[in-house]
Amino acid sequence: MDLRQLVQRKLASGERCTHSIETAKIIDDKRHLRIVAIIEKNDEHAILVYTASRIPCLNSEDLKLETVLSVDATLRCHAEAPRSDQSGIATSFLLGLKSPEIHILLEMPQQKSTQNFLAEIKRAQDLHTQNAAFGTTPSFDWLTKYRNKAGSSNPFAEDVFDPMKYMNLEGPNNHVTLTEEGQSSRSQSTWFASEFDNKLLLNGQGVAPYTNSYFGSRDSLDAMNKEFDFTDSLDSLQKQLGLGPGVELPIGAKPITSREAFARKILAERENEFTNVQTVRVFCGTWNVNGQSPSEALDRWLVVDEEPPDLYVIGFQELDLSREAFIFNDSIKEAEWQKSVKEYLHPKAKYKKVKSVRLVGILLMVYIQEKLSKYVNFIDADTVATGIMGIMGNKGGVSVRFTLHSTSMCFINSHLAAHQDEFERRNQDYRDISSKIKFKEFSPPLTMVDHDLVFWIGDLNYRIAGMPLDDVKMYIQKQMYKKLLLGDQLHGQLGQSDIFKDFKEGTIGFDPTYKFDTGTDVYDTSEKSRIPAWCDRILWRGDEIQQLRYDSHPQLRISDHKPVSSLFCVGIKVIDQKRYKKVYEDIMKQLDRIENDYLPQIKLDKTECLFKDVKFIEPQTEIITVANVGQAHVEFEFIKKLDDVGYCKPWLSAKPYKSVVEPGLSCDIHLEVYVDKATVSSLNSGQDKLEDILVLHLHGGKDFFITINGNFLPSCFGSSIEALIQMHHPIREVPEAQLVEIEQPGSLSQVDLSKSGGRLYMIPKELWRLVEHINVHGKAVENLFQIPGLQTELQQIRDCLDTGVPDVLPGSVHSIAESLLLFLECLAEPVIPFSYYSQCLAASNNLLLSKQVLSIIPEFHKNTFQYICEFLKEVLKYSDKNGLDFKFISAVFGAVLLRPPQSASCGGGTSKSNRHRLQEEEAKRAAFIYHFLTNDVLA
Amino acid sequence: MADCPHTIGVEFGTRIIEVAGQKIKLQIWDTAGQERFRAVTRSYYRGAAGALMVYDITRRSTYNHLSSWLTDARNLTNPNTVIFLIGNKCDLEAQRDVTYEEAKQFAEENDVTCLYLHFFFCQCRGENVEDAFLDTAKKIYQNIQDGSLDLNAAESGVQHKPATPRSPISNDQPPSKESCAC
Repeated sequence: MDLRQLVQRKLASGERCTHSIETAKIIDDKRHLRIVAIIEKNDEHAILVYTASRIPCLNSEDLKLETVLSVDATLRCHAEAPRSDQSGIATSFLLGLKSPEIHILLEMPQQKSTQNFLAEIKRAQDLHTQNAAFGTTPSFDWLTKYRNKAGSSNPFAEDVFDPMKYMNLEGPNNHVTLTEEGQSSRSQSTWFASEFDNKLLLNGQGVAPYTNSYFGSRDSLDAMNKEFDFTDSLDSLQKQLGLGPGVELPIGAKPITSREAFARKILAERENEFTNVQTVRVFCGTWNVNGQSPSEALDRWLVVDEEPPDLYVIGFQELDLSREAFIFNDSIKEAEWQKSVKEYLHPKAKYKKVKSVRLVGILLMVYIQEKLSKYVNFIDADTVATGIMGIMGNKGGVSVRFTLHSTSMCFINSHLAAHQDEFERRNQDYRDISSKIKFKEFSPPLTMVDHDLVFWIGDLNYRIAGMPLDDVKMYIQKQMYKKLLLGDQLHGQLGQSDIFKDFKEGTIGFDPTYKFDTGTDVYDTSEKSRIPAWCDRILWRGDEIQQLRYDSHPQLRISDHKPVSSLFCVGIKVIDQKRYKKVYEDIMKQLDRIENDYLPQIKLDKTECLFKDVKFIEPQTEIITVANVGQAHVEFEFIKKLDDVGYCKPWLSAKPYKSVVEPGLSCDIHLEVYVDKATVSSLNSGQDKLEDILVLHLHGGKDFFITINGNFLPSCFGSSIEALIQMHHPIREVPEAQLVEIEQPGSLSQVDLSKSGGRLYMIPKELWRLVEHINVHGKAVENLFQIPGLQTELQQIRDCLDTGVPDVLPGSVHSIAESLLLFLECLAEPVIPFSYYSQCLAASNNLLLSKQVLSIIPEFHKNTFQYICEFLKEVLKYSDKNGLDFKFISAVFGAVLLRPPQSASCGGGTSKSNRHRLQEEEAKRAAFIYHFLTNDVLA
Repeated sequence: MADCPHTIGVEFGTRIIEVAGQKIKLQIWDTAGQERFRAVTRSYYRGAAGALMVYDITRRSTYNHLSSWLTDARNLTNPNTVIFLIGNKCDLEAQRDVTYEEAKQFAEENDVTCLYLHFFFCQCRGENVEDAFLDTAKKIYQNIQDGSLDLNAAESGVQHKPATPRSPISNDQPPSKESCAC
């Protein structure tokens, strides 16, 4: 049974052992076997340490719980190399686990499962941080039972001495002696408390920061990071856009739109137009101090020129070789060196610290002259550890970045792999550091190559190879550096490989800086007598950098390395606000233009359509071509105007009235005018005209007005009986003005019979012609009134009636019959006028009542009605031939003679009751007519 | 100077301008000015935060139309819609047909803001229109600030984020002789 399963058996339900490893706990330098496991429950994680009664463990009884650690924000784990490293092959390493209560040191086997184990802890901690950010505080209630158990089964005496148990963390003034692995030190304890107070952690193991206060903590120029009180509108706009003086976006700024992203891109491209170049002097210094304290005056290193530099970039390696620095990444040496450096900065200027960052013994600090500090923005730092197993901080790099005015700068201090032959390891370290440095304050995180200027300093550890020691020493003595450089492992690679790609280094004019007998200027005289080398270097990447000096400082003797310095003159882009504003406004206008260019753009071949001489039931079509000449697809639609029911008049239609056109393509819209029975009478009477304005709307764009004009040729179809009986000539011969006049309701009463030729027709002459035609030619024709006519013949009949030519009506009897029905249906006022409609229906079940209603309708309507009834009676006499019967004729003519008023028929709807009502009405209409077909109308 | 086709329909454009540090996106409808389209252009007043009425100082006929435009604007917009009167082509002093005084008096009597534009005005592309838009946006912004324009009211014409005040423009200029700087 494997270890994980054994642990699992000891757990309560819902708890899961995800990882377990056999390990050794270090107590007083002695190894004690332990089983360490990660337990998960509901996204909460804990590390449980078990003692084992026998090896290998065979059942769960063999395991006894010793220590419980919850994986939360307070848990810290740090790795350290084992002390004895003689074998050369590291098979294990030490892992320190520390919570406020517990502090243990474990020897972890160097194997895959260990890496998984560490990765799981990191993942759990990330999860914890994440959950905490969402406001869910883990309770770890489920651990209580184990904590009690661990206490009872685990006598305190046996445990590692744990001073934290006795620390009252609430009180800030507690001073506790920390004993670690048997060593007692009063002074060491201070870091512990201060670390908790500050919640500051420089984490060297690549484990995510525990708290978000990591950045912008005590080391940064807090004052510079404060929210500026923008009063200038440009500045506030920049703020809104998340635009800095440079073109970077710090996390927390509101999400940017594509428009803003675009504006920023153009701004970056046109930077030259609104920036001036201002030079600043940058001092870079690097020193591997071999764990020593600063006992010498540093001005010999830090002050190399009369003129004070604007920026100090100072890097140390092996600043602190103590175990504390290594495991818990805290250092008392740092404070000493910080103090000393500050003391020896150029006396002629005042400096302010921008940021410092440390990874174990690798420290980088950046100072800027106070007068420039207000131009520093977007400060961030990161560390990358490349030591043992690629996770330990004995080797690696630290970096600080910020923006000065409009130029982004990145400084990296690194300590690469040691040993003469390990130059491939050094190369790999470079690759790791340069690729893994991520400034996470930015979204997405910035990397080294995202910066205008990069300075890389440090103990790069590259050696002089392929030369005997004596030759090297001889060349050094004669200062034949060029010869020496031929053997320099870095020099040979620069510009030739991916190592320090695009980096430059100045000409080295000083002796190798490693390795000296401490306190002397004498190269290594030990047994190993290492070959001197230029381990300590300063490189740069970017334009506008001019190296003024590149020196070593042999006068400083406390370390086995000599410090190196370089002074640069660097061009910084400074925004000219006036020009910036101009460019910015320019870009805004450009964006407006682009935005407007991307609005849908179409071209219409015409915006006016003329329909000439439109006739009843004869469609006319005009085609409008919509060409998409823009860059985006166009969705067009004819839209309704204010308060209108449809997008156009009822006699007009557009096909399609709505469509999508791709760029470069076009679409034909067929505009059709078709005057039918529903619209003809209002056009005849002049109430309506063939005029309309269509609004062609482009979605997200403009609207086009399309003007429709035309003239309608009046027709007897759709005229009123009242008007028709006044016309002595075909309707086309009647002047328009007169037509409008006689179409007015009640016009008949004003007719001066003496003037108008003294007579009125009894019935419309067109009706007479239609009826007479059927009477003469077709009353015996089979299926009369049942077979539809031909459209063309209907049009010919219309023309004949409207113009009076030819004398004989054209077309078949069926076309004539349909024309008759159409004529009756189109009458502006039905034969039984609308106002009598309901009375007729009410009277429909009674002949006498029906006759009474008929007697009160206007004379000319009554005449027409009687005329039609007589005709129908005549036709019905031939029912054996034409197949008609009273019922059918009553229904067909009831529908056209007795039409419901508009308002009643519009009430519509398709509900069942409504359909029923309509059927009932139809029956009553037929019944009303039926009376007059079966009886003498006049009687 | 090229002849600019008169508007048949409603030109549409957007412009982002700054007022008191706020970015304001204007959606601009430039409606056809011809009388025959009046019934249709009325649809565009609804929901507008501002209206610019433009006439040509060299042609009195365009000025004479103002009262009917104003009637439409007043009837169809909400009471706080900013209405501007803009005299166009002020550089053509020699051909002036409408005096500044009478336009000013008209504006005062009708409680609208009077502006004078130099040079030309052509749909929404003309460079000199900028000031008119800026002034309109300022006034709208001011109305929002002093609370007279309620952003929550329907048809205020202003949206807060994304801000899109709409400004239809009545370009009351018969097409015959219109020439433009664009």
